[in-house]
Amino acid sequence: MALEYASPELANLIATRLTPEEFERRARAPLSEAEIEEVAELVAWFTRRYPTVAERLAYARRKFRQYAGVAEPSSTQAGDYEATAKRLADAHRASDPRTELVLLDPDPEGEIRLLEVTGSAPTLNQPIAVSLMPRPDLGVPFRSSIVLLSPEEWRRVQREELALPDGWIAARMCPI
Amino acid sequence: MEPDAFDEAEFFAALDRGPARVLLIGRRALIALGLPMITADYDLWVHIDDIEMLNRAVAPFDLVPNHSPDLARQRGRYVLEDGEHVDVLVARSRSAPDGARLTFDDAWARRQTVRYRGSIQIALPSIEDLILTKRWAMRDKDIVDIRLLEGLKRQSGGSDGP
Repeated sequence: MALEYASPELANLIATRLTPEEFERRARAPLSEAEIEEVAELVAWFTRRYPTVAERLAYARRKFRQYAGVAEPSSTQAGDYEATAKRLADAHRASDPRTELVLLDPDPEGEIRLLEVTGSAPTLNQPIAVSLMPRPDLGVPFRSSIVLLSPEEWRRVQREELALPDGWIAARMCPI
Repeated sequence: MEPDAFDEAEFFAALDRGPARVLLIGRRALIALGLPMITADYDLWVHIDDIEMLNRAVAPFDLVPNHSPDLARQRGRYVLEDGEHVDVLVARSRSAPDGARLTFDDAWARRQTVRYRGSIQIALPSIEDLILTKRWAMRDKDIVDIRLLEGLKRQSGGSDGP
């Protein structure tokens, strides 16, 4: 299961409706152990970082505003990887003034990968990427993933004491 | 952080004070249970007899119903809206295309509560019932939610509850 669940609810408007047969087939497919582990890992990360329901719902509201906040590109900007990454990074900085650094990990498959170092993130020493589906209606036509790190975690990454999620390479990241 | 004009804590406190029987459904329910997602709206399921009580409870937040209670009962849903958008399901029961039926009364009887903050509680359907609600529309995105909920259920040893 790809981490595609962090998509804004407005996706309702563009959601694909399946035939009953196709829906049943996919909904009832057995979960693999990897999927179960992935859910467990996600829940563990999310509930540690945001221990209360209030904090979790606030996260969802913040993230939605960030997405909605980048929804004003011109049509030429909309398809531009770097411009979209920059707008996302700016929106994240605007919503979290304690952001110290935003790095872009250019992904060969066109995913916008942002590593954000913020004083508002607790030190969990368990970096995890949260993925968001493309939202062309909100000016984000690319799939995106975000890793939030505390300054202490970032220092440990730089000292190679803490590993980033699979496929994330600190050495090729650049500030944005 | 950017200030929130909408006081979500007060909103849920108003629901918690009752007396309307209201369940939080949709992706916000999944977020409350610990699944990271982004969503714009609130989705509530209210008992068909409790629409007026719900409307009174949320009136201080300037949330205005788009239909009268009688029309909402006929249509099966309505919207509370001002700066926020709250979709309210009113049906006594709903069925998935495969015939699996969930009544509000059953979902309410099996509900779980999660603590929002302090003493404020939010009522949610059980994980099993949330999965049923995700079968109503048959959208591809619901598949993802169902599988996440199944994973959450397995993680909690097959039992409901955060």
